[in-house]
Amino acid sequence: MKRNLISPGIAIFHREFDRFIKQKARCISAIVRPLLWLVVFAAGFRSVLGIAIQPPYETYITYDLYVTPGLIGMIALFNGMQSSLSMVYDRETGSMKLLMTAPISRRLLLIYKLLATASISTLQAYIFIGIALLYGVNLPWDGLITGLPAIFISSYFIGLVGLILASQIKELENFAGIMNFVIFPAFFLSSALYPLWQIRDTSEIVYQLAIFNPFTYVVESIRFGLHDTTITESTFGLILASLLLSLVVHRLFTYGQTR
Amino acid sequence: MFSIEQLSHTYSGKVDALKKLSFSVQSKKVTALLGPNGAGKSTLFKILAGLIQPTSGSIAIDGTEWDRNNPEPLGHVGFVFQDPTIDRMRSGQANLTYAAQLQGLTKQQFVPRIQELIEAFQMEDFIAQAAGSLSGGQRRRLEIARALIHRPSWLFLDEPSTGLDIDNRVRLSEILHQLAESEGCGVLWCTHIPDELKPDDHVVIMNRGQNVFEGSFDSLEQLMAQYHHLVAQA
Repeated sequence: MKRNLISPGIAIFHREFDRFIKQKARCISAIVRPLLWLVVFAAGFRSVLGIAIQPPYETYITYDLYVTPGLIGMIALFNGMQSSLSMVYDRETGSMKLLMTAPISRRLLLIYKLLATASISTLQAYIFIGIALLYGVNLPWDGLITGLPAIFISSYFIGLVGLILASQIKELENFAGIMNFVIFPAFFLSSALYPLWQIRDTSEIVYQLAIFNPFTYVVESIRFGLHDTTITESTFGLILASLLLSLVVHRLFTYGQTR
Repeated sequence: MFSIEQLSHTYSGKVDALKKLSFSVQSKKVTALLGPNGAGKSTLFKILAGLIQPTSGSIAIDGTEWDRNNPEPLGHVGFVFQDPTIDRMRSGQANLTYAAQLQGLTKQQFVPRIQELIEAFQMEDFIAQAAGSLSGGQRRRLEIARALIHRPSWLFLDEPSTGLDIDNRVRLSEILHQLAESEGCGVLWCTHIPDELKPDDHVVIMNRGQNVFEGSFDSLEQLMAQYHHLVAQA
């Protein structure tokens, strides 16, 4: 039979979206989690913290506007890790074997998987942005278009990191621990909640950790993307890092090397 | 012909799971791979599926060596694994569609094929149900149908009768023998239960990673006696 290379992509996209929709708790919590931060956490800090003028902002801004890119990054972070978790689950339940015996290159399979994950993250991010706008967060409307590449590339990058973690984890139980050791440090040790200069004022060590934290660049990439700068140094850095990590991931999932 | 030549595999550089194993699978025929637990059957199966790489040796399809970096030959093979590998959350139909698309089939190709397989494996009553709600026998039929979705030339099954009752085991044996005839597949059937076989089958007996017998047998009693003798001897 003649084969085409698009069909496996459709299969993977369909399965990922199907799984996301069927897992109602995951679907709802993906939106509720950042909303809680926006509505409860940011509301409390709105009048306490003053955010100084710093790029990409051209004037003083409220805290909820500052924290929104970080919360979009949080959506990508949770979805990327959960998608990788599903890969560990697939390996435990045997479904992974079906993927690994498909007659197409594993590189292509992984790209399809990452594109599907990034698409779901992006969809979640835009649902969140829609609710944030209704809530009164003053995001620029054209930022909805200019922010798209940054959100998608960031989601793809986080998916890649998740795949590397998933390839090293033998059992599903271990993944919960890894998630806690990855998601929370990545989120808190970044510019998601506070500007880097403010972190530096308080602790040089935390500032240095935030500088080396790739999630900081995810957040900054989305922040600039939502404010008219489509491709920033951060986004470019994420693209380069994604290319490098792709080589690592491909090596980990090469024929004959899958556990 | 599907040939396995001098295949060896050592786990972590210590445990020799396969030791220069050689045999062939003939087309349009059932080749039974017999052996006790730990004989190396599942290791061989993992190598065939590309899940692990052999330490040495080669695999050839119709005389052409299978380059393990090239996934294309996998399109000529259908796999049924020992443990269930279906997506329990999705329906039988969705499982078949997923497998067909992973094989690179278009909608025009897989829709009639799925219908054909549903009828051939009598799955009309349960194909719309979530795979997680199916019985062991129904799941196995679904998995075999799924492995045949792309009309493979070779069908490899790793102890597919595990967990099935006697009726379903007999039925499975009939299905596999019919497949060799009707689909023209070469069937490699890993099992450790000799009474599932038929006298016309080609038999390979493995023990401790080696091929200790290859050929045919006249009667089940003769095969059983030979099997126990060879396994005990090794």
